[in-house]
Amino acid sequence: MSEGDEEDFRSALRRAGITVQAERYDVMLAAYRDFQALMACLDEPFAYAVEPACTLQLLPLVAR
Amino acid sequence: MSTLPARLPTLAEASAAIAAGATSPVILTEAAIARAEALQPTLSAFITLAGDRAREAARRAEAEIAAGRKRGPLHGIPYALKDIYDVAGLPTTAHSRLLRNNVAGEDAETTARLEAAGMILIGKLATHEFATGGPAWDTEWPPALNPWNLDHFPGGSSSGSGAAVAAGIVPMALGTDTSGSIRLPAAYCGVAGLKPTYGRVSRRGVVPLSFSLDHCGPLAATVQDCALVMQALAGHDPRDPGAADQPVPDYSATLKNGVHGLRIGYAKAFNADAGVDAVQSAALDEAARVFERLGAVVEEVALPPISLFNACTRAISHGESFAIHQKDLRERPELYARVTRERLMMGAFVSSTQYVQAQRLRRRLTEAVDAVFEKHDLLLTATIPGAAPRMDEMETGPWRRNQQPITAVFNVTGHPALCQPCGFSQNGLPLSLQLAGRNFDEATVLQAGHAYEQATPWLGRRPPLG
Repeated sequence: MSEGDEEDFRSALRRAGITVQAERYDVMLAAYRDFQALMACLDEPFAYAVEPACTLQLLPLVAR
Repeated sequence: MSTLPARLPTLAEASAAIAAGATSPVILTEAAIARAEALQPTLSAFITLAGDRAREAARRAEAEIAAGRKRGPLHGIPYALKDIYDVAGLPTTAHSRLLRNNVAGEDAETTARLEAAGMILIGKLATHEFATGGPAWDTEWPPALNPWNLDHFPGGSSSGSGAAVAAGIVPMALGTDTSGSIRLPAAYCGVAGLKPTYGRVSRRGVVPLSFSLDHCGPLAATVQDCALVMQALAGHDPRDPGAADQPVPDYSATLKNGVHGLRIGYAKAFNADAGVDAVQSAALDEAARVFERLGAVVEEVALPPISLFNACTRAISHGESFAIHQKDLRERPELYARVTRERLMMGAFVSSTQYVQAQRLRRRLTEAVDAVFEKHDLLLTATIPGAAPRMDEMETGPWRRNQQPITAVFNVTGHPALCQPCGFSQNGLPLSLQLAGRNFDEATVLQAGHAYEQATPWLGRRPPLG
């Protein structure tokens, strides 16, 4: 991880408005680092047109 | 059957016994309640026992059947619900102090369908808090334990469902499955568990965890029992935005058709990539040979690396569950168990880009699994590496490094997947295989699972509870 990852961790908590108990800080920071390491595979570039799953499949509205 | 049975029979056996006049809804319900009460201090499977409600429903069912108005094969048979399903007039706690006083105003769609089929609800079952986290001792109710060995984890999050079915309290219980929460307790408790296709069974009236990964389905003593219950559960619910309007076949009509001529892809290398050890791998190899002896064509197939499925599952489930729980995590975090609170907090670390990229990866992974199903009717994998761990060895931190389930693959893709016993570990705990099928083809999955169940001795093994 980069030098600034602990600051990123604290920023994410601040932005979310949640607090980690002081005695669990190191455990949560380690979990944050593990999570970001797992997420690295999502940095692989996709072609522009690769659609996400769960896009809308709209159906005509039927009167109840 | 004139006295209370020690264990309840399977759903199919109970149905046949009612039809033959050998037992009755009242006898079965009293037996289920008695066994639930007797085992509660040992297993902690229940949050709420609804004995009076069950007795009244059983008397009503008995009168209807006696009057020639039998509704079908489920009529008069006891069941239980994971305590995140709504039942009008009963608490839905999600095993959490946050919902301690939450009484449901109406039935979940699934509850309503089982009630309409005449089933008798005896109670609401333990879960991991909000169907996430892990076994926790800092909630209002203790965690459920594994009937095979009380020192071991029963799987989760539908922990009470797995324990109650394995212990013979009820022949069937509903669970929910966001990354394996039906199939893992089924695996660890040695019963059958089906995660249907996404959209096949309504989620309305069930406390959500992750909207695009949540599935509802049964855990039952046998694959046949799963088929019987699916007949009542499956079908479009216009009030569930994730529900699919697809025709529902007669599952029992094809259940006994065997596997002759079916093509089964065996993801052996994928299992190894996921950490399956030699003992479990040997059990799965033997399962593949059983299918071959029964007439199926079994071929090894490749799947994308499990790390991609894990990344996809984590980004989506953490992001979606955080959206649900952020307000409570801000305002009253002390009401969550520590493990739940910390695992839900992981959602604060998911960026919008990661969430969308995970959904794009999800489509690619789904296409890769669909490609297997172009040439194969079924996919055979392990459920999770190893048998049930000891409770005191469970990871209870915010991030699970080990015990990664293989089940999450089919939450990502939405395909139907069944888990059922395929052997026992060296310490006598159940091992499990997983059979997945094409979208909305639960019938073939159940058909193959039933054929395997009939050809192997695992159904006859029961936990040593008495």
